[in-house]
Amino acid sequence: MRRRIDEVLDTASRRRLLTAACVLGLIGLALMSWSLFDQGWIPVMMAMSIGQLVGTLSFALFVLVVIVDLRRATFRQSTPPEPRDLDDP
Amino acid sequence: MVSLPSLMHVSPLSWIALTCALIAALIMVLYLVYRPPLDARTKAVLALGLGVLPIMTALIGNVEGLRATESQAFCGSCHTMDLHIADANDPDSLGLAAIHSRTKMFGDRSCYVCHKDHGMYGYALTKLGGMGHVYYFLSDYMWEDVDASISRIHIARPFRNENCMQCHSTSGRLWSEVPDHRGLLEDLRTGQTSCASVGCHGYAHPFSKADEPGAEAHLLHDPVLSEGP
Repeated sequence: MRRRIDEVLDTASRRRLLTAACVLGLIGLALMSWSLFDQGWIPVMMAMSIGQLVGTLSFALFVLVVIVDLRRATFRQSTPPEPRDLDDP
Repeated sequence: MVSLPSLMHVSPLSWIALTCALIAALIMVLYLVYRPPLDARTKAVLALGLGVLPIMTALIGNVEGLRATESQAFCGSCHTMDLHIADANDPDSLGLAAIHSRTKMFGDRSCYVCHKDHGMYGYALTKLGGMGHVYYFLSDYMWEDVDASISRIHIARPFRNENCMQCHSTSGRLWSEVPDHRGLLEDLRTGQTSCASVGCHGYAHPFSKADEPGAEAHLLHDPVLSEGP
């Protein structure tokens, strides 16, 4: 399972993930905005269930892109400062 | 279809939510159209468009959505409630629902104010009960004509005097001057006798109980009580 997750994170396309996140985000926002104008049971329940589910999924995909980025990043090793000789004036 | 008058009733909080949603949507559309390189700046803007702003829209949407569920318009958005809403808003109706709906304290929230659970977890329990209504509507009443379903619609459990007593404390002088109130005081407080029973104040929505004996009988023929504001 762990290996499978690593494989997905190593090979995932960030652009595809972000495209999916944006499309899902637009759908979620449309559903949530609809309920602000039309306060019948269908828009309100759609916004508070499907709208928020889709919106959360969109945000989760963005977080996944951040995780993928961090895994692929090469961090420069920090070099410790030169030891100072305290006796040296 | 959203009409202009309904747009005029959108609250200031909703406009804030809508502004957040529009900015977030703009960010997402611009990303989809221009596909900028995924540098730190792009990701910061996307964090705003995919995270911060939609979360604000969702939070405000929740507040406004829950507030909307308290309105008569929300209850009346299922066609099975059309006749109940019409009766509640009928200026000539002498039913309990209509009399209470005429007062400002109930007004366009009259369904919720009368039917909600006033207990400690009342808000959550009322919402859970509402989900039950949605289930019954979707599974049973949705495709049925309101005239056909009116005889089948019934309250989930008998209406509790406790709800009436949120306003009518049963200890006021005017209330106590009514002989029936005095005689039934303990029964009324414990719910043994319903305020909305035949012979007392009658059904809250008398039109819906037309087949039942005495449905039209209630003691609110007092012109002062019946007229409302």
